[in-house]
Amino acid sequence: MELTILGGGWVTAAGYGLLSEVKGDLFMPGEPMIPPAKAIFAQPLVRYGRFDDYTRLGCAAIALALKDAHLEEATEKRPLGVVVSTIYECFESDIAYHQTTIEEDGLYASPNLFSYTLPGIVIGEAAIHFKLTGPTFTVGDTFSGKGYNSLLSAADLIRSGSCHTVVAGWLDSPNRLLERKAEDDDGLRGALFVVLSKEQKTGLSKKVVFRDAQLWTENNKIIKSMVDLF
Amino acid sequence: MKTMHKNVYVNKMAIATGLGNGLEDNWQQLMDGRTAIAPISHFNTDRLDYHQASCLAELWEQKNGNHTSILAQMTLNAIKPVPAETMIIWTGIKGNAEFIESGQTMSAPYLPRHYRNWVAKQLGIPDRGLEINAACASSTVGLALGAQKIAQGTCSSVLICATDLVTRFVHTGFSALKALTAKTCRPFDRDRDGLSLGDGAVAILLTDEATARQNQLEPLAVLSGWGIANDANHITGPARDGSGLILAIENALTMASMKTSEVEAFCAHGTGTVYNDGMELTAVERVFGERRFPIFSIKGAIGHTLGAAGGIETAISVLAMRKKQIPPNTGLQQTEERAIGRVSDQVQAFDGNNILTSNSGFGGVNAALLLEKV
Repeated sequence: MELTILGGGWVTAAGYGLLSEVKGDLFMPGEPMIPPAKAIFAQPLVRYGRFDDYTRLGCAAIALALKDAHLEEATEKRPLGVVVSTIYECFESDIAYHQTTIEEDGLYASPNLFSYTLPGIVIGEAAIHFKLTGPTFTVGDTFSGKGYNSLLSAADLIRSGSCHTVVAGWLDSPNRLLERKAEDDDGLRGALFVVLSKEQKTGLSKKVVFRDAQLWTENNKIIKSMVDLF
Repeated sequence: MKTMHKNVYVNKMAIATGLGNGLEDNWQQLMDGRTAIAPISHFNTDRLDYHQASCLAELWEQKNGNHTSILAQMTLNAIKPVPAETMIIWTGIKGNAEFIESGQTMSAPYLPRHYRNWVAKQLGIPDRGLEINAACASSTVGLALGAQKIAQGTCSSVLICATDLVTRFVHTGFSALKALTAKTCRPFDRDRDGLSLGDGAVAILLTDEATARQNQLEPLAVLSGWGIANDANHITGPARDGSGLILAIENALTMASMKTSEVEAFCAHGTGTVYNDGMELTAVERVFGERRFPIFSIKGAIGHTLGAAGGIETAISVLAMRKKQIPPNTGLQQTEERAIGRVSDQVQAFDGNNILTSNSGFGGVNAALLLEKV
């Protein structure tokens, strides 16, 4: 089955931008340069400044991907899905929330921080802002795969007829509070998202082929990571 | 659509909840109308307004070790062996809570993939699979995605596992959100005022027909339809109009080639919060109209088991079809008006061929599954 990448967005330590505009290295050491709201949202996302890094990073890259696909604005809810793959999930928010529970046996636990201790809240925020009502969930990732599991899950959803278009991508935010990193951690943090669709489109859009339970580029190269698409 | 796909069978099921370890034990206690919701004893709640949850005593009597693994182990012991080619989908959502509470020094799994690795080791099968998080609809979504892989022929056997616990982390969070009840949760009650949390673990094996036959597994039910949808409304509250749940149910029915008039019972998310249960009744009215059929929630007995909830409710729904009985809506005192004729505090005889089950979670996600008799 042939699928089309309608657009993509990226946020890393090297900067941020659209898939159609990537120049130079996608990664460099350091923390991702999370863009200011006015640089990425056509309609203001009021809470953006109050989000944790994980949510802000994810919403920014999803916004850029939808912008690149010319799907950022909608007057009504639409059945687009969102699949996020992540390794650490929102672990920083988990720890930050836990710190509010230590004093007085939890009396001052923060309800706001607790709400962000689920890795799919970033999807909820994006779904609300961009009016997305398709299937939404997070899937575990690998450091080498960087979004591969989200791509495969998105392709599964489209093939099964569950939805027509899915925003899929990798999201891992900086870990400043977590003392024990995963054994295979490559240290790279950021977000890469694409809009994968059943829609057949020509021009600048790229093709992805699902064959033998794997994903291939239109040049018959096997896709092992979201990075292969950027 | 159904004819294009391979059939997906539910072949093995194991659960552990505050009511006990084991599917049959849980079933019997559910049918007796018992609740496991009682004062919490494994952490201090004195400074909070909420002191009760459904906790498994034999779990918390064990003072050492990672309790998520201990509870999960109970279900894995009951479900093994599984076919060697089985793909594992781990759908527990807060398995890192004890790790964080211990100051990150304990030797315990702390990422979802660690649990998946650990499950593979316990079952003695190659480690391959996924970790899915869709908040309180996680195991429901895991079952949907596992079924999707079998239906498409990319996998022949999938094990969906989840374990979530009543931890201090989660209890203080729901307490801070004022989402808990100070009493025992009362799904679909006129005076419901919040949810009760619960310990819960589940493991469910799905296979295609050939794998069931080759491994001499008895198909217990068919998972014939599934749907996942977001309501794009609020991160911690459901859309009052039930739009996300309606979409998920409609997608599940379409996939199963089933008409709304054919659905015979509904195992609801039924958390006992004002807004969740109200949203579900709105969705039921919009999809099914005035037609009355049994609706039930088991959360008055076992509490809300978060990521494990959908899997546990799927197992109970399969058992309900096989035993021809619908469990009572434990805790119900005065039925909310719109639920009259739908919800009962008594065991109901049931000779239906299908049960719809659904869950909804933070982040706006809704998921529905359609289970049919073999």
